Amino acid sequence: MVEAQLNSPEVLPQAELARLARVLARFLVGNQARTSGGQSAARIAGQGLEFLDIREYQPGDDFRRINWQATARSRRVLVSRFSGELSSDWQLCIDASASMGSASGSKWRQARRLAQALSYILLSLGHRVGLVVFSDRLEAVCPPGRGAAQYTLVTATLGRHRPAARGGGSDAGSCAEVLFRQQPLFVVSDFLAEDGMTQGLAGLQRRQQQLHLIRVATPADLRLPPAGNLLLRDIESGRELSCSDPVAAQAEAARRAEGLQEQLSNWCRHRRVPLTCCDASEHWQDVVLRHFTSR
Amino acid sequence: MALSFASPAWLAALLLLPLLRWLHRFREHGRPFPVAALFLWSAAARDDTAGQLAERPDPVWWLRAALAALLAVALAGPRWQATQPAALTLWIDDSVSMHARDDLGAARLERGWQAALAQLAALDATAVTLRSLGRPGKAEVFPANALPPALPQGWLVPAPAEPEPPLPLQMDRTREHWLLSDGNSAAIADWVQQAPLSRVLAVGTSASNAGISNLSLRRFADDSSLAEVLITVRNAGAATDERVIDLFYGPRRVLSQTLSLAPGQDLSLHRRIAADEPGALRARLAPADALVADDELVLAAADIDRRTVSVSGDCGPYLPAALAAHPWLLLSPVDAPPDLRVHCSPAADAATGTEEEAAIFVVQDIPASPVSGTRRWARSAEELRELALPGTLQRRGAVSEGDGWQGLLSAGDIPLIALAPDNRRLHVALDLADPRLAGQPVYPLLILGLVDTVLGRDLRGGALAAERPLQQIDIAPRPLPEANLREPRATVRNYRDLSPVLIGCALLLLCVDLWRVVRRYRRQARAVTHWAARHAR
Repeated sequence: MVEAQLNSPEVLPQAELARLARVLARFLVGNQARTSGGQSAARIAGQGLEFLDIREYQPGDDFRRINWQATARSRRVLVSRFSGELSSDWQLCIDASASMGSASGSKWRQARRLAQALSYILLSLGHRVGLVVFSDRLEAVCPPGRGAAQYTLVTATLGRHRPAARGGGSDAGSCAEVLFRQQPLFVVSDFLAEDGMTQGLAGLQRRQQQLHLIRVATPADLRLPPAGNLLLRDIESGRELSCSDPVAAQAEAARRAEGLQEQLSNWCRHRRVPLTCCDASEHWQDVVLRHFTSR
Repeated sequence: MALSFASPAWLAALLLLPLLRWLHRFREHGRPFPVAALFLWSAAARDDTAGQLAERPDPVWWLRAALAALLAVALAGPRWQATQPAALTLWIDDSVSMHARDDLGAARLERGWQAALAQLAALDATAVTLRSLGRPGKAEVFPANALPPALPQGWLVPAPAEPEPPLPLQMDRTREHWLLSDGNSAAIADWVQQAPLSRVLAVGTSASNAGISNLSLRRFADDSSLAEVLITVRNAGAATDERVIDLFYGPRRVLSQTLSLAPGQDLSLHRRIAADEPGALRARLAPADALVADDELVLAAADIDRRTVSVSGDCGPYLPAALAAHPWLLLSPVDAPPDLRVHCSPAADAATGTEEEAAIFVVQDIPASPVSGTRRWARSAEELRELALPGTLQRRGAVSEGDGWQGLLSAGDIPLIALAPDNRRLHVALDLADPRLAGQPVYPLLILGLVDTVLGRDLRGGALAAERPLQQIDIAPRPLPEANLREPRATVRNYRDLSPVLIGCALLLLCVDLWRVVRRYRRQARAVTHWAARHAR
């Protein structure tokens, strides 16, 4: 049953998605021209269609960008630069590490629902949306696109992937190699790492224009069966710890989880990164709405 | 009652119990449980403590130590020894040499019995069975507390045959087996090598012995009242022996001579004596040596006496002459009762005779006619079958094979010689007065063969002899092997094996341990199930 739920993506009701998109339109439009930190957007060279300026050719530049007329005039190879369309490319990075599959896969299902909802909302508002599924490496990449076809593609990509049963880890920095700079980015994960994945997130934040974090958690991760001696085995690293007092261990784990949450919140507050924490059982509409309206 | 172990080496396994206790100091591996982030639990859990040594072992080690100890002791084969009196068989070599008297004292058999009594007194035996090796069927059982002080008289007679080892089936493994022997018999000495004997009572010290091995008498053919006597004396000892040989014919001493016998020497003496009077011939060595039984040999008077024969009827000249020529036959007057009556009669009814006397009836009731047809001797006529009868034989009578009479010789289907059922009367249809038959060398042999048949004695050899096997004169004892003897046991031990009891106790403890483990895991499984149901989404 759990296997089937992990593999087949949930079909979200389109009416609710459309209604939520209408509600959130003004929040997203209002944020469109902002860069991280709330500064006004400057004109930045990118992959857009609006001409910006001309500069000398550098190795690696696209041959198609060579401005032949200017090159002929100046007798130097010059390439045209265009202003980037910053607000129109959104990336969704979904954590598919083994820890996301714990608690019967409820966290993964919640992350998948959120990814579907976000992609629908963003696509319906005319943005291009891409999808990256990562663990300690890239699992799947869905290039940015527009329209209903892109939603279908995102949904299908999510359906093809599921968290590994064991092994691996969570490295958000692994997404950097496929992300274009200065694109707003959603990272949906449980952030269950000793540093709260802040190291990888810091790298992403330096590259991207805007970083949004949604943390999916579940109390089941902090519960142990009351059955004498336990051999706790990390499903990602495989490390083992012996636990003879599950009750005391649960209390200690709860404190550690609160500490981890506080650490991640502080990191986001200092860097003005919007962070939303949700329970795996929470309704996806509430989570999405809370994320965009709480700022 | 005492406790012993069949394989005490297994008790060394008890030394491993401290190792078992040490192994129980290792912490038990817990139930594996996957968690999403192990670092959350690191403060309350022990890192890699599974398998680490604890200060105190798991208390369950007492249960498992008891289980292991019970198994080790059970493998050692504990048993209660219950002793009970043994049943004993004493195999007695009652050959001739066992009747030798070493140093002219008691016979070996008697000395051995006294030694056996002394050793049996120290043995808590229930009953003693005496079994003879010389007479395989002879056995006698005595209660242990009623053993005769001297060997019963029936055991003091030398066995007629050499002793034979008993059959393996007779060697009952539940009994003690002893052997009383001087080792003189090679067969017994070989048997002792592999026999399950627990004790050998060896007797015999002296090998010096001389004995008479042969005494024979032959009557002279020209004067049957005279006879020649041959005596053979053997010295079976290892030293020269001087003995006096005395020869008596009836009450009359006919020879007395001192002999010096070298070791292993067979000395023969010849003496001509007048043997016309009835009497036994007895040779005796003096003085007595270790074995008295071989110092004398006797020829009975009945055997030495000549057989009297009466011839009646018209037998012609050849038949009486053939009978008179034999030294062991004496023609007697017709009126005296003879040992054998030979009657030649033309009337068939006169040839019947009586059953009390040995008789040969030569039937002459038909004219002489040649015998035709294939001659065939009966299978029972062993001596007569060897005779080469001439080709031409005359038949003077008709004999029949009715009423149990057996045809000894027949020509075709016509019987020529018939034997009565009592084997003491013969009817002869051959013409024994035919000069062509009487002139043949086989004629006296045929007549003597017929006489031997009805008298039941072989007279054709001409000599009368009494012989003693040389082994019966050799009394030298030989050492019997003792290397393979079983350890003498004072009693037979009955063992009560305690291993099944211990194994049963060990199984019980094992069940307790298994029940305890199963109960714990079931409790844990039940708790986990309840927890999972409570927190399942």
